[in-house]
Amino acid sequence: MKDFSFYLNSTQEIGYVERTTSSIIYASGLPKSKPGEMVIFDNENLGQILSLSPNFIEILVFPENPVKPGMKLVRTNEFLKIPVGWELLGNVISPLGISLNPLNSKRSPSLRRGVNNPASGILTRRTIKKQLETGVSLVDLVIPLGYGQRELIIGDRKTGKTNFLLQSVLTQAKKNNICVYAAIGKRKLDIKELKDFFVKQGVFDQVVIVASGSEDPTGIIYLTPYSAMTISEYFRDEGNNVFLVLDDLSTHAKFYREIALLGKRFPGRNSYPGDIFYMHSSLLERAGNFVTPKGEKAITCFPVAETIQGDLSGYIETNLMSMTDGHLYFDGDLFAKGRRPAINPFLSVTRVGRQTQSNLKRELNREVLSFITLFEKMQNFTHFGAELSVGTRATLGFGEKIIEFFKQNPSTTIPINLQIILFGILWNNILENKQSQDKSQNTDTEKLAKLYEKNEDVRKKIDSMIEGSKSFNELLGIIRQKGEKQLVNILKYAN
Amino acid sequence: MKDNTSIYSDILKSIKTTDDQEQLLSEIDILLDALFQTRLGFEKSLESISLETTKVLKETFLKINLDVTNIDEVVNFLNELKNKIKSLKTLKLYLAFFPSEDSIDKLFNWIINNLGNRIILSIQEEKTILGGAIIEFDGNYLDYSLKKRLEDLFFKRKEAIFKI
Repeated sequence: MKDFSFYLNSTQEIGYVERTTSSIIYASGLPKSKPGEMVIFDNENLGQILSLSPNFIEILVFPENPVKPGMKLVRTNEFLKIPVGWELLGNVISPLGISLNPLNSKRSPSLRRGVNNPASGILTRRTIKKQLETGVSLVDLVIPLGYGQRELIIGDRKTGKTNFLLQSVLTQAKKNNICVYAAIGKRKLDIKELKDFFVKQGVFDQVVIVASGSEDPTGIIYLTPYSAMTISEYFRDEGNNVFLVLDDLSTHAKFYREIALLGKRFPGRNSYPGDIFYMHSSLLERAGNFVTPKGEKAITCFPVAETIQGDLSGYIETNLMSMTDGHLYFDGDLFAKGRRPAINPFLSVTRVGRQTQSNLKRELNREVLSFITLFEKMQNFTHFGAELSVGTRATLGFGEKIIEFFKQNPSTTIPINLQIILFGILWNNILENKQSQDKSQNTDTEKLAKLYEKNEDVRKKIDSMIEGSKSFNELLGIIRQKGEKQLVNILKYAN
Repeated sequence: MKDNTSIYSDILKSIKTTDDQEQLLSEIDILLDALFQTRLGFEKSLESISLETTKVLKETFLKINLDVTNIDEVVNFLNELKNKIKSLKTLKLYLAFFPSEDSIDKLFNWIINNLGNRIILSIQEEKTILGGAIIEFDGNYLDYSLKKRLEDLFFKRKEAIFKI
């Protein structure tokens, strides 16, 4: 971006700051300015025109230095653009594309892309057909998701949402997909922890973190998800599947409300402005499965919403539910019971995920869902203190094992084929002598996951078993025939 | 009192620059304070401001038959006058020197004849422009300075200059 004097000479227009109110300023002058246009102040700060009135221009500022009345500003004849390029990978950047690491040796990309692009039209979109792996068994087997799906991650704070997101990013990065993580108004410590996690897992080269801190100007925080989406669109157009996390849009809505109220917009429900739905829907509409010159590529988007005491009926929460293709509900009660991840499968929805599943996975999904529904009902029934039959006790015991199976360490990701095989073994009751509370179970799963990733032989064997089965029953048959022996061999490998 | 905007035109015409504007505004404020605080009457209050302004105001009051004994009417007139003065548009002029009174009068007359009579001048001395002028009006910015011309010239003939 050029400097103040360049734009002053090229546009031959000047404005003066008349009034400032936090992140919004009112300026006079600039007769040919347009809404959305960027302005630059004489101290090289940037701003974006929000609205025009006969006497004043309303500008949202992104200042590093304070903007004071009397300062000069010029319009740039450009809409807000940020630098995009491969150099962004392995970097923590501000929403304006500036690296937040002062020791960063990578150059800022020279290509610039508009932040407020309209969403692609219907002709460029394709049906979601490919399943997206999160590495979390409960999601991949029970609430499957697809590439290009927009899935809301909703729940109270401290219910394991971020851990699940990190697991998903990790799985996607291992698959060589580009991951963009938008940390909206987070604490600096949280942003550092995010980065450290990716560095530790060795996937930071596949990740871009677009971060704004809670102490940053409101304008910068507001911009964060839009910048992250712009970066995602760039990588999609470069021929990559992109996994985008917007953490979180409840915070974003609060900051946008602040801007709107300062700008004297008429307050609506919960004092949010009337266009809050539009602000979020126009953002999420930019994700999806697209046909590009480089093939069918998807932007899968996981927006996050924080609830208060499990209330799913909040304004922003319901807005987001209506503009996404389902939601994963992180239940505080399940978290307190020790379930990890604390996803409530009965209150979670996936609208397009099941269409991506193969016959085998669909059957497995149906079986497991109907079983855990039955288990849940029986558990409720036992609360009445009735005497239980042998069959009921067996179902309850097996249900406990299933629940235990879905428990997963926050740092472990399990490839989907391994999940299916392990579930098949459990379903066949091959491990019936193994105690459900056995603490070594998670360690075994971790070892198996690592083995599957590293050992090609094991991977091929497991994959061929899945590929060779047309239905879940067929797979169970194969596992019954040779699964036990193979499992013993695999476990030997792992140990 | 006649309700006519032209009644202020004589006073407004006497304001040529932003300095004049500020001075007149501060004098009106002093006058308003004097009227409120002492309740001495208009004639006595006029002693607290400059003779030139006193003359212009008296002439205007005479012209429009304003009852100077009615303080409320005088206050209304002065408040309205303040608003009119504040609404004057400013043409900013950056020059390499500070012009003489004669030059300012000539510039002001040119503006009145060509752009209308609701505009005043804000002249600032900016030696770095070397010569010519930079004009700012209604958000438009026109750089007719010698500095800009030289810069453009150096930029156009950069290669030839580097060869020297």
